[in-house]
Amino acid sequence: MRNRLAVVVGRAVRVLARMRGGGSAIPGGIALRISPGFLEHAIGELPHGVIFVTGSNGKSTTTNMLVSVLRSHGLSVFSNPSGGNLPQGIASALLAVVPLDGRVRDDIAVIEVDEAYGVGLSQRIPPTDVLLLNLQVDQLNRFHEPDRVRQMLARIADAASRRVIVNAADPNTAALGRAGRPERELVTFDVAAEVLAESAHGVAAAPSASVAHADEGRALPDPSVLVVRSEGARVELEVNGVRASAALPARGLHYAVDAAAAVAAARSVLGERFDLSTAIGALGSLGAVYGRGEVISARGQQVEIVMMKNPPSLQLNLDALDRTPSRLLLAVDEGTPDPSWIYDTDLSRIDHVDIVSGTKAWQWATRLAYAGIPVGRVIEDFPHAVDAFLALPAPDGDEPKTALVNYELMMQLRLAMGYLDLEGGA
Amino acid sequence: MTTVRIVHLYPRELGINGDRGNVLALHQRLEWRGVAAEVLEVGPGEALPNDADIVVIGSGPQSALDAVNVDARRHAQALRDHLGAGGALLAVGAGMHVLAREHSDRDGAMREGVDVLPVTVAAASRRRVGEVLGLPDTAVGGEVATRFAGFVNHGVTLDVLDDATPLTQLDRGFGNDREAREGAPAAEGVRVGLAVGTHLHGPVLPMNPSLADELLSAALLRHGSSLPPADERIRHADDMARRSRAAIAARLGRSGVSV
Ligand SMILES: [Zn+2]
Repeated sequence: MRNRLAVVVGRAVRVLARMRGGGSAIPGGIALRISPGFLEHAIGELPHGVIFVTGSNGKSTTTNMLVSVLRSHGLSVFSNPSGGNLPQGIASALLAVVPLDGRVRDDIAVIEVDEAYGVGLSQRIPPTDVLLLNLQVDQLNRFHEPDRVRQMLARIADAASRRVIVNAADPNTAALGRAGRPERELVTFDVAAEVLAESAHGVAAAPSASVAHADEGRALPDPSVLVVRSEGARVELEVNGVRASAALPARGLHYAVDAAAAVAAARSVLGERFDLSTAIGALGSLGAVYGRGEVISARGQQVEIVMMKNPPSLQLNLDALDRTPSRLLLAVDEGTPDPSWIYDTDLSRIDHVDIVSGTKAWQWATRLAYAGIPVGRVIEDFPHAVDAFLALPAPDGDEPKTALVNYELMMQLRLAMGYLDLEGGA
Repeated sequence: MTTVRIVHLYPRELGINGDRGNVLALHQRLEWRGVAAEVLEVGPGEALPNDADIVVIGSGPQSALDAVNVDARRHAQALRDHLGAGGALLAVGAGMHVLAREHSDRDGAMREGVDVLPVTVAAASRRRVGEVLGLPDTAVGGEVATRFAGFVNHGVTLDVLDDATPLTQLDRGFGNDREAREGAPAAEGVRVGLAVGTHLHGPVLPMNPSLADELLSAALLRHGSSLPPADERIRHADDMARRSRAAIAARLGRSGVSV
């Protein structure tokens, strides 16, 4: 009864919120207040279970890939929209699809889970499978240190009733896999040593004192999926001795690893039904995820958005640039409260910045001064900076302009360029 | 010819929050002035050279502090000798905790530190995270009023012992033992001669170049020379840093104060 009420009221709030142009997590929050058990009621008993996708980077991309691969095999999948990875966001997404009884009819749920909220969430909806992508230095102002996140990931993984799928190329997640309970199935995906050796900064795993003991615990199984080649926006995967190449939504080894993660998870869920060429086709059909290597066009301009969510995402995205950007906007605001880590980033892939913007603009300009990288203008106010950036002459040939921005300004930039859909707005 | 030797202690373990930026600032400011400089990284198990001019140790998580704490005690005498011979030291965050007289472990129990900085560091009941702004302690009441600015992110309280002084008197943000309020500044960090400890990220030296130049002047003095004047590149970097501090001051409701 409470669930029915939660659906009706939540839906009504959702309609109102959408009429006012808002998105968001509010309807889901209200549904959860009416029925605290709304989530487990909705997806607790799906025939193929519930997969949680978590880690420092690549959650949205991997979730998107995994959903696509599963759907291409004929499964119907419930998932939360990219970025809506808090309980309220998941509940909002459910409100969009559930019938009045509040129960999802899909075969399986794939849920992108925030590291911190995932701990509580994994108690409310015990996942059947947990996919651990990586542990990198991320949001120190919020998480304080990687070790706390390690503990969060360990607790989320511990909630899996059936299977844990880990990235063997990240010593942190590899150790979490080894430390898990032996009765649970352990699946890995990995990156070939040659591929790692070729990349400028590897997989940018968080350093940790406790990883010194990484070879303790159970042995890791051979990888279910191996990245054997990563070049630009293409990846070659090896599955069961067979190699196949897939197009990625954006450039870089981190996207190649996300693809391996998604294929490994899909393979373990689908079992005999898994087909590599179907999976490859599904990966190739994906567009760029929101602001991750996405090229948007408006006002006659093409702008590629490169997001710097945290140190590893900035480094890996810089490493993956296929050219030195000739028109570059760099902007960070209070969504990145302490940008100290920009001094740990190797900036050798850029040779100048046209416009630096956002409330942290002067801190970036200081960093660039020490790197000897010239700056055209500093325009703190972001909307003015976007106008000035779009007014610059376009690069030669087919090169888009490049915007290196944090998450919050990525959203603002999309809005400024007329892209009105909001990430996470179910 | 003079070569200034900068030692970066535990760069891998204690270097999670832009700590390389402090070493970069020292190195680059010398290079821009035409002074030769060398950076030597010293990890666990390795020896501290006896000809260092400036030792830098950075910030890191509790797990890293636990990992280097015992190793660091090997350097206690070498670090005291270094300071006794006019060498300079910058210790940020967990690096300051390691060098303290005592600091708390993961469970809050106090344990012995390297005891190079006369402070004790105890676990606080809550985390202290945010931007800070304050006058150098040496400038309080004086004519020079260029403020330090930065970002703190830690979970400790700090007691400054003996005749050491704080580095800064904050007018905004979290200090050693409390948060600064209007009319009630809070002490931040510690300074004993040329040894400086602080929780300021930014990192602290590029953000507050006067402190960088103070350490560099001390280093050059040991070689019987003085710091050459700033060139255009240094003035530009320092202008960007001053505007960074002004932006922090504005966010903290202190628009227009001297930075
Ligand atoms: Zn501290």
